[in-house]
Amino acid sequence: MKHSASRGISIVEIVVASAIIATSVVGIVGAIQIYLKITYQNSRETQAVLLMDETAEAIQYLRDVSYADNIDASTEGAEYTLFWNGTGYELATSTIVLPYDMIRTIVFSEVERDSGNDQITVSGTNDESTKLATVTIAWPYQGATSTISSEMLIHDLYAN
Amino acid sequence: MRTNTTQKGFSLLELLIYIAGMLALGAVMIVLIVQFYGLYREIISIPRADRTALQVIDRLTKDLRAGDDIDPFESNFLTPNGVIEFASLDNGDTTTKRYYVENGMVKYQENAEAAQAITPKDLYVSNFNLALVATDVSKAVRITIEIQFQANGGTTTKAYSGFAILRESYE
Repeated sequence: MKHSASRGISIVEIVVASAIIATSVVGIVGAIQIYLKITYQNSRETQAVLLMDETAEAIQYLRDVSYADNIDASTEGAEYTLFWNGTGYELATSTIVLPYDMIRTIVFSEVERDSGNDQITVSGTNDESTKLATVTIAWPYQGATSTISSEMLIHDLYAN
Repeated sequence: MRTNTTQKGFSLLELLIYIAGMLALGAVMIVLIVQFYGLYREIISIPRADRTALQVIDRLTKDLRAGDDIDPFESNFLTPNGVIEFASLDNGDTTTKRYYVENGMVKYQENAEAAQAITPKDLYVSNFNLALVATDVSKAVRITIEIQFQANGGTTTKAYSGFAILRESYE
């Protein structure tokens, strides 16, 4: 008579069971990793949107302080950044790395207007009292760089 | 019929190996659970802190942009326990709005009515710093918020900032 109860588990059964468990563990770990990546990227995007919002408002603040000294005095096409000095915002040409390796860049460029109808055109007469600011927020993500970008027109509204 | 008593039950050595194995397995499981819990707290807390800060900054900057003037006597600038009170225009009506921090929560008060917390109880607002910035033509406020939460066995702090010009303050 065979004692089936004492047979135990065969090697094939162990291998099959281990394979199933290993596959599911790898799957769960992979899912958690994807979720983590999305969470971190979302968090960066939130931070970037806040920075963009702050930058747009700060450029208007710089205009309010003095259009001539801050906006008009800037070199067209050059990359600027912005920092809070404790009492106000200042433009700087050096690279400032913000938390989470974020980099904020502001580039001012000339605005051309049609001499007939004053509409903004690609080629026309240079508008001395308006500039275009292009703001870019960049941060590293998975070996590449993620960016968000926005444009705004700054006008010498207060003739300052 | 032959009885073989040595084949029954476990020997002392087998029992010891079994207990040692179970203890090792238990220890590994506990470590894994603790790590997973820390990770879980972190992945849950980061987006919550982000959402909370975004909501507070969004709301405050929106109200400030509709703002007319800031009450310098009721407000408290450049301190971690910042207070700001200002008049804000809502559909032509002027509303007195007050934002301040109390017990680690940002609170909002309208026209001296009962205050309500606008951040959750379990996220600690450790810094609500406001700076008043005045130019010749306008007034603006810079907001810095720091939120603390428990994750991975320690305290993590995330900082957020916002800036708003009071549109109604333009000369």
